[in-house]
Amino acid sequence: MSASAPVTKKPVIAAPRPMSRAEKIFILSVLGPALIHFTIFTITPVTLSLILSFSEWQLLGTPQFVGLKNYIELFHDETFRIGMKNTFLYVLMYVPPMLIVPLGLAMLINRPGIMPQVFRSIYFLPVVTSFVVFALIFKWIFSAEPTSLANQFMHLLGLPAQSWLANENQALPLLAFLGILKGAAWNMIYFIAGLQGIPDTFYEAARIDGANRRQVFRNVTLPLLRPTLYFVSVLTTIGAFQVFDSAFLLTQGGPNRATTTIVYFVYQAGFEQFRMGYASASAYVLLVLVFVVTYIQKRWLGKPADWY
Amino acid sequence: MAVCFSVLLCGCAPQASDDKSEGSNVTVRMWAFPMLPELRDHKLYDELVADFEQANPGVKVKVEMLPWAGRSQKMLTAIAGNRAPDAVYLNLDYMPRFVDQGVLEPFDDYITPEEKADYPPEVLDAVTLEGKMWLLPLLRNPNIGIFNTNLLREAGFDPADPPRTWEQLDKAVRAMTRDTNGDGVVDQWGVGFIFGADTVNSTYWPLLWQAGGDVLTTDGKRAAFDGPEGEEALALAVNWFRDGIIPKSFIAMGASEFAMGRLGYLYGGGPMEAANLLRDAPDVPLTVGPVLEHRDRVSYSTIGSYAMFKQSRHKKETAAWLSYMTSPKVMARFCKETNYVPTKSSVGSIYADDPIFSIFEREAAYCRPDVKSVFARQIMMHLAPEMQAAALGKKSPREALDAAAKAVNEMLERADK
Repeated sequence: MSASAPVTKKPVIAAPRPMSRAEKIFILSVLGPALIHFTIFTITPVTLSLILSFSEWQLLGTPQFVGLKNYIELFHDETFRIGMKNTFLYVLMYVPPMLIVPLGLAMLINRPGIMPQVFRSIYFLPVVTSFVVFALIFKWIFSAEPTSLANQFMHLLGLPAQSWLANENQALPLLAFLGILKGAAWNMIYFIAGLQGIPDTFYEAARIDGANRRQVFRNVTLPLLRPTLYFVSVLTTIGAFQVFDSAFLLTQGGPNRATTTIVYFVYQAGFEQFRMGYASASAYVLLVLVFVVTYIQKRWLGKPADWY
Repeated sequence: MAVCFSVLLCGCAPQASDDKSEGSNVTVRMWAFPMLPELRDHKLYDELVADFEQANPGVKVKVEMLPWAGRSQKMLTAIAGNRAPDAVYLNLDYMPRFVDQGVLEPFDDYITPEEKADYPPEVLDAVTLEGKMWLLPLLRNPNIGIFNTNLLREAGFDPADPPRTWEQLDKAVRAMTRDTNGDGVVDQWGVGFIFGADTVNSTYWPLLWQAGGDVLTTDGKRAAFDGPEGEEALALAVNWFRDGIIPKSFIAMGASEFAMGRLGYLYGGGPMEAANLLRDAPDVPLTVGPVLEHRDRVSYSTIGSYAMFKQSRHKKETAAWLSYMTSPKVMARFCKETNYVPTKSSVGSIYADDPIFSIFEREAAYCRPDVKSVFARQIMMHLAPEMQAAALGKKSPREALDAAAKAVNEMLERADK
């Protein structure tokens, strides 16, 4: 292209028509409540906790400014290091199955008829069950007694009894397993929506070209599902980094800190040791981590589906 | 819109409006936590409140029953928001922190010298800090230990004279650990000793004290549990776990083995556990062991008490209500209903005819209260994972204690600055 080539013309966009008073009031009244709520319950706490992360505060009295002390202490805190390691391990054990299993389920039941509908509802049951109830049943199944359901099952298979949640090598994978059982169907719903958004014409074209099932999946379904995949993987990853309730309900961060995650650490620092500044600092480290990982995901997966 | 805002504003207004005197009427608000099954606490408090209100015209009492979980967060948020109740039921371990934060009102000016003198010196000492009395003690919860008498007998021990020393206990718990159905897997265990963070005070502290050690140095500025006594104490429990005498599930929290008749000794079991077992597992015969002895004969008991917040606008009336709640007659009734041990000397014995609870009553004299430190809870949190690491064989008891002591000392130094 030569230097003298004409500059591409910008598309002409009509200048925005000035808004009438009534329109302004309408927009404000629609956005207003959400913005007020967002400011009070999200922006303010997030900003305040950033300030708090540079201070020491025990929930009562006035916060003392301490500069970077909390952050420096964090990087010397062995429990925090263990929490980081456990959180990353959890993400690795939780996120891939949370993409693969729900996608498989979605493809299985994404077809017309009554039975797929029935299965969809059955698969969705864990999602609507209270997490506490779910976790307590899970704890009962995987308790360390030889008489527990999981150990009875091991016995049937002729395998030795395990101590499950009381075993430091098994506890974290079990928590990931619990999370997958609980949440897989939620992601399945996203994938069903994504699958239904792919126009049939592509599948027809592929079939006419003689593509087999695997080829259709690799060359049609997967690329066209990328926006859904991106959305689901970002949400799932963020959720995984924030894992807390299962560690709190089932193992109290143990045994031997094997299930102490970053958010469990934040909880302990804030609501058991009442070190609000320290807890805020660790929460901000988590925020930065999640931000970086999400950014990487965006670079990798976050392109529009190129079917145009 | 205006209506919405006025509702919001009312919600934000300080508590003063609803406990402002109406004529001469004053309302005392108290937070309490359930101790009885099926929330029968409401009925008990209702009767006591009615009785108190009749004797004190012009004073109304409102007891609000809150769940135990998250109570410290609730109290602190209420105090920070200037909406704290006048009084609260408080376990002793909260006292040092609350005194340090200046949120409690001492009772010295509100109760008579006779009332004070009715508490045994060790109870009075436990609730005294900087020369002031911060709590009105109501009950004791001696954590001692509960034996399954069947298993004890089968192992060749006399249930009427259960083990009282470390050596005797060690022999008994090892003898009670068995594979009862011959499938090669142990299905009956000697002892349930929990390695979790919430229970260090009722599990490891008693062993440490029995060995002659202590949690902190006398000035409270350094860890003392890492001495040879602490190591001896931890080694005892760790060896039980490693040798399979303790069920694996006890690594973090207790489980139901005792209720299933498969546990010989529930270490640290107190009146609440005994009452629950008698109710829920009536087929499991049990007895309470004496407080164990190694170098010292000592165990742990918290002191359940009432506290008055400094924010209270009706201190005189609040103190009168709490004074009524801890009067010998009410204390006897409250303790009898909740199965705990009364704190006042003049109450005398309330379980004389009861073979189980009379033991708790008798042995309470050998129980020490909570560690008097602002950091009592945090110390437990630092210790528990190290104890777990030792039990799981990742560290020796010595290494585990050194690591915990290092963390505790750093915390204490930080606070001292």
